[in-house]
Amino acid sequence: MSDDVSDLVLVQRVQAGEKAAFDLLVRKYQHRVVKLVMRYMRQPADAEDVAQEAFIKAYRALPQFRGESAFYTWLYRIAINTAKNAIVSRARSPVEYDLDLQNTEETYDLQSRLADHDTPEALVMAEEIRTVVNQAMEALPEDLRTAIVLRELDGQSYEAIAATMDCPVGTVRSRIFRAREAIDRRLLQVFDGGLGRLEELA
Amino acid sequence: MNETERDSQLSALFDGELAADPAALVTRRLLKDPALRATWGRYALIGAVLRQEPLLQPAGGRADLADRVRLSVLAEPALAPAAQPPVFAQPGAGSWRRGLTGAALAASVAAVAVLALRWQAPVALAPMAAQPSQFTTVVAANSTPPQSGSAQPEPAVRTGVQDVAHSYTTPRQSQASSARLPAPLVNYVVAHSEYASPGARLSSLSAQMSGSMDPDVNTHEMTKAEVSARR
Repeated sequence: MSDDVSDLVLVQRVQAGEKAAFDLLVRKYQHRVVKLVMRYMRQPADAEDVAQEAFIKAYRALPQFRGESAFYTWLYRIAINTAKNAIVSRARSPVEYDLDLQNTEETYDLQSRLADHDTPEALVMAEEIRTVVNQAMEALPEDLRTAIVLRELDGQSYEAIAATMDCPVGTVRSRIFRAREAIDRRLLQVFDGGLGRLEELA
Repeated sequence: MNETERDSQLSALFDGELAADPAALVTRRLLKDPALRATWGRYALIGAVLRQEPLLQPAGGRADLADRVRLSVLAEPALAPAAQPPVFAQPGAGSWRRGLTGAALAASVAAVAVLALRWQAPVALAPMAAQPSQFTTVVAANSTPPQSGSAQPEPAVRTGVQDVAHSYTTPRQSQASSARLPAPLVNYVVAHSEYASPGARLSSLSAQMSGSMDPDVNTHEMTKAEVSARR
């Protein structure tokens, strides 16, 4: 995944003292980091706490970040270490040791979904969002859907997607944007009036 | 620039597919425009749904994760530009005089090392010139002809010269990143580990990447910094 340029620009802004830029990095990676930490933490709330701690550690350590690795690679390591430390300090075992490993995929998916937790309203809203996004995906023209799947699910660069789809890189960029725009528009339509809640999720 | 083009650039920025200059421009707009920031957040949300990642939200009377981090960061001191030390700077170095002193010191150490080599290994320096190292080429060019009676066993002397060369040119690969993977490979593995099955995630590569670190914020970046500091 080639997130280097935009991440580095944001990192440089944070390093220059602009804290708001760090918020954008958090919002971009928070879901991934929580999913990562949930490999180690039993409770979704604990995973969020560890993710929060990892982000704060990352912020404090940013002056030492020089862009020699991708920002997410660096953040990934901090998150893994923070999770491992949390396990040691709280004397808890990783999720993998507690669950039936014969059914790993299923239990992992269950763990992911358990993060949509705490209140019935939150659970319902998360499911609604998933439904809307998935329906909007299905309604996309094939070329747009393929482009965004290759990007978001496979993590391919625009150049690799262009090679796969046999089209120019500019076309890939346009297709991915149009896919996002269509899904985003659908989200805004469905959650019209509840946008505050939707913004909180994002 | 119309709104569509602006959002198209935002999408490319989100994917890290915008060139540096436009990326800096769009980032400035992003930081100023709440609507763009909200769009950025929804792009992240869409990706999270597609990847079946947990959707984070305020619950139980507490703010959501991003807001909690934001509030914590607001309480932290800002990272001033001066807090970023140059790669080879010593702690507290802030003036050109100190930099000049450091350079002079490094040159002195280099000169002493070269003299020591000439004293200890005059015979072995000629074969070293054949090696494709910039440092060893310089040493050979400055060396005196071999003197009889002071020869050391060639392999041992050559090893010693290489050690000195590595000590203040670049760290040997094995020293700088012992048992570590090359950064591009690490980035690749991390980027794609999320698309692997949970079992595959616990591969030896992942274990190697995460297992060789200290408890806190010990990263490949920092290890390189430590190597630089040692030099």
